[in-house]
Amino acid sequence: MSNKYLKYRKKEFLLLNQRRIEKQHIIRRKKKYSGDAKRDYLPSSRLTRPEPSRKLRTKNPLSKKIITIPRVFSLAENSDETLLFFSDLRDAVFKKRVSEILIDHSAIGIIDPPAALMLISETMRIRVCAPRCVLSCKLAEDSLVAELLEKLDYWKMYGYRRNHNSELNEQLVMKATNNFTLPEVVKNIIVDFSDCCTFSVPQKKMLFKGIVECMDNVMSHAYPSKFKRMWLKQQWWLIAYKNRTERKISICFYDHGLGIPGTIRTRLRDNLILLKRSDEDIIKEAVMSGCYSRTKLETRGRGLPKLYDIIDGTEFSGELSLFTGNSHCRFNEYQEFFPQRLTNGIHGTLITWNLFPKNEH
Amino acid sequence: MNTKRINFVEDFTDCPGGRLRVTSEHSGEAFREDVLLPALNDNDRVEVDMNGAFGFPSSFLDEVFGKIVDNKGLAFFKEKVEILLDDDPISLIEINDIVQKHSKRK
Repeated sequence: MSNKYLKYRKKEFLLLNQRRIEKQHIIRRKKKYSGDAKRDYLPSSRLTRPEPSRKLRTKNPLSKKIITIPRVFSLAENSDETLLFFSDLRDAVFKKRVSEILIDHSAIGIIDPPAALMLISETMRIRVCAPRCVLSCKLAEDSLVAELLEKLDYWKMYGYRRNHNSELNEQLVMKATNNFTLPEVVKNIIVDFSDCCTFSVPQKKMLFKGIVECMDNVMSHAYPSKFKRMWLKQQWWLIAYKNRTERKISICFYDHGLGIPGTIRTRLRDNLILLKRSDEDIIKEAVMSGCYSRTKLETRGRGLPKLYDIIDGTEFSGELSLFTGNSHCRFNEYQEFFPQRLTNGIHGTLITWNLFPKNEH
Repeated sequence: MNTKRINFVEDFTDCPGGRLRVTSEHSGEAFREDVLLPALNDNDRVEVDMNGAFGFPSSFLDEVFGKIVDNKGLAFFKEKVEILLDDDPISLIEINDIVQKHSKRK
């Protein structure tokens, strides 16, 4: 047999294989639309958002993987295992290029909203950046976990809807995602929070500035165009929730970008081996002192201090938590700083404010 | 002397944000180019009443006032622009700081 013939046969085989996989996908989708939603393993459907130019092809079209979410799925209580799950998921999709992934939610007993937000954003990224990877899920058994994810429209991404009647302790106020700076969203959050606590005018302004600044930082710095990565350009995710028992309000903002140290480590002294400072030190300086911008201009770098201004003790007490790159930094109202090095880094930046309004607490 | 008063909330928005037009509808660039600069070109003096807005993010203020100082100079800004902002003293301090830093840069 000639080489030409062998090449032809190989091409034909690959084409047939491809058609077989596409056929399987169509059958799965048909099952979903015909109302066969009793199964726990649900097929995914593609998002309508335009795809990036760089598409990821699956390395092995027959490979499958089951990834289990840890029992305590929380960044505050179990950050190591939670971030390990995300690292495994990204590895399977973007490095090993597995064709089918089953995300097992059944083990989750405790979930916190920031982890849920990350899960939603990661699912969205996989759908858009790796459309050939079929995501399916095994549903959560715990009713509170299922309800939180339901309220965040997570199950909808798998074509599934559940009704829950249980009362969550964390009451969702707002969820939003976009790739544009939307100050109106922040205005609505503040208006919606007013049901549970009355904000003073400076409190409203403080919150407004901090969150809008986060959005604008994402637009201007988080996704530099010189980096080609599997990310949803300029996309941010936001949730706001209140805890009725503790009278606490929380806002969580997430992006998949380069991370704070990655974007502001542009100075020579930060890059020299002997003088190199840790990521945590750079974050501390940028957040608490300011004027630490990628542009190195004296007039820039005002955005990050706005994150800390919210909890500086004048209007709110509470905590600011920053997960970015391989660092987790916590700041409190007494200007105390708690840095932590992460074993499994985070893609992007997750900012969480846990706030107690001063006139309320 | 011809003076124009701009009511920020009525003439622009109550929730401004964002530096550039490409990333935000009510950006600093949009306010500067569509509202403030035409008023400055047609009048001897402009009063910008910024009361009533939800807040002014730093990037918005920098894009509006910093760019005017960069392009036209501190003398022009001081002579022609008056800012009225009684309900947000922190932002007023920030505007003064932005104007000072941009004038030094120039």
